[in-house]
Amino acid sequence: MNNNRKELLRQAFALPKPEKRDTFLATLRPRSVSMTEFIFTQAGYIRKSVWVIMLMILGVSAWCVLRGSEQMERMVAAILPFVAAIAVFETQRSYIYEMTEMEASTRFSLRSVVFAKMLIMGLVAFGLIAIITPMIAFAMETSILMTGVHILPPYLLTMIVCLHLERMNVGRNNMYLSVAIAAAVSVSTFLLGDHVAFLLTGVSSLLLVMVTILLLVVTLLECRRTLNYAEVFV
Amino acid sequence: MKIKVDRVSKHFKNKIAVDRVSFELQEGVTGLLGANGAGKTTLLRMMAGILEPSGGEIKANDIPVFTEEYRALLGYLPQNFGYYPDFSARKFLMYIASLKGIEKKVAVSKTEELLEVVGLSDVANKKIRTFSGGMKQRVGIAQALLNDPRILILDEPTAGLDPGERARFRDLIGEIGKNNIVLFSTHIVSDLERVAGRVLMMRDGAFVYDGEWSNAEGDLEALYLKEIKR
Repeated sequence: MNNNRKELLRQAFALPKPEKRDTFLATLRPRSVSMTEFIFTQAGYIRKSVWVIMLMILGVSAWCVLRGSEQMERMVAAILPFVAAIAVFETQRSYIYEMTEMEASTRFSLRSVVFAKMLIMGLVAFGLIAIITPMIAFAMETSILMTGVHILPPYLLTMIVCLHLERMNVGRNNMYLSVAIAAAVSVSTFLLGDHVAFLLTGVSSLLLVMVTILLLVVTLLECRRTLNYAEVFV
Repeated sequence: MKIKVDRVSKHFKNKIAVDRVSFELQEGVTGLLGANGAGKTTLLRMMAGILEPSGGEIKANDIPVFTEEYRALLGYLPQNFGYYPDFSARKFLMYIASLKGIEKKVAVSKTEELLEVVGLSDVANKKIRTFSGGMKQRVGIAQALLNDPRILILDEPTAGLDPGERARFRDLIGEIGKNNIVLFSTHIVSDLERVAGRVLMMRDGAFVYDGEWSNAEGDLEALYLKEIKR
């Protein structure tokens, strides 16, 4: 087609000037994305090394149980703080790598990013504990509840301290602090285990359950505070 | 589309970073000029909905700034931004696209298109940590454009770009500004040349100049130098 014809066609079928463009554009809403869909998407951005470490922790915990060691409960309790440290470290990454400002300006905001990572890592930890606890209970011929009460406190304690520090400069800018806290709790759990067991002799199971529940509640409150903190840009 | 900034101020303890500024923006490129510490970044952060003003309000077509709806319209490049060291340029853009709620299929094609636009297609799979400052800045510009934003806010976008990249950036911004609101800050007057229709000049948290670039081209540099020297 020659240029002359093109020009004639262009004149004959000229586009009308846009009218009420803003009104039309205002009717266009962004594609709706559910929180579940968003969380699934974010799971794909959790580092491979995190999944590998979690699998290794599961493997080591299972090995402790299968070995039939008398101290299997204490060993697993000493390993679990590292699960907490990795979980907190993963939610902390936006701060460590200075991604907060960019993430906060996106449609889902920083709070959603932190929530998604927290939920994913929480579910992974829950899954790991849900696998290992019945194994220990079966091997030691105790109840699942009491096994949980014995292995969870070091994990919850690490979560509480790490989440608290994450909201402070010292924790937000130090990627190894959560690992150091986990190591301290882990070593204490292993070394002080006998003393703790001695102190707990005669303490009712109900009290132990209540202490664990209290730690769980404080952990959830710390999670909420960390999420609220993500709303405020510093 | 219209952004209305109404008597917005921001105080940090005893310091007034932004002092009751009011203005409106419509489609086109607006340059925000000012020396370091003039209040540009604070104002842009408030307009990007990541910093709460101490007073006043910001709305785009009556949509308040602290809403998902507003952020869906927004593209923002912070002055200083980091990156996850394990991310390549392509993965970084895909990640930001996921935070912007862009469908995966669209995100893939948009990522490829923008990598081409900012000239990073050849190094798309390389880790960002291996990039030069200018390349990192281009990744930042690309992420701001992922959602075809109606409002584009760029804080010192030309920092780290070489003269050729600056010229290409000006062309790109000029094109985007034809149908969208573009506001970008700089402390270099020549960045605004041929691209900014309007110039806002800030000093001590307030505007000392608000006008058309074409009306002030000759005087602007002199005025700016005078303001900086104060």
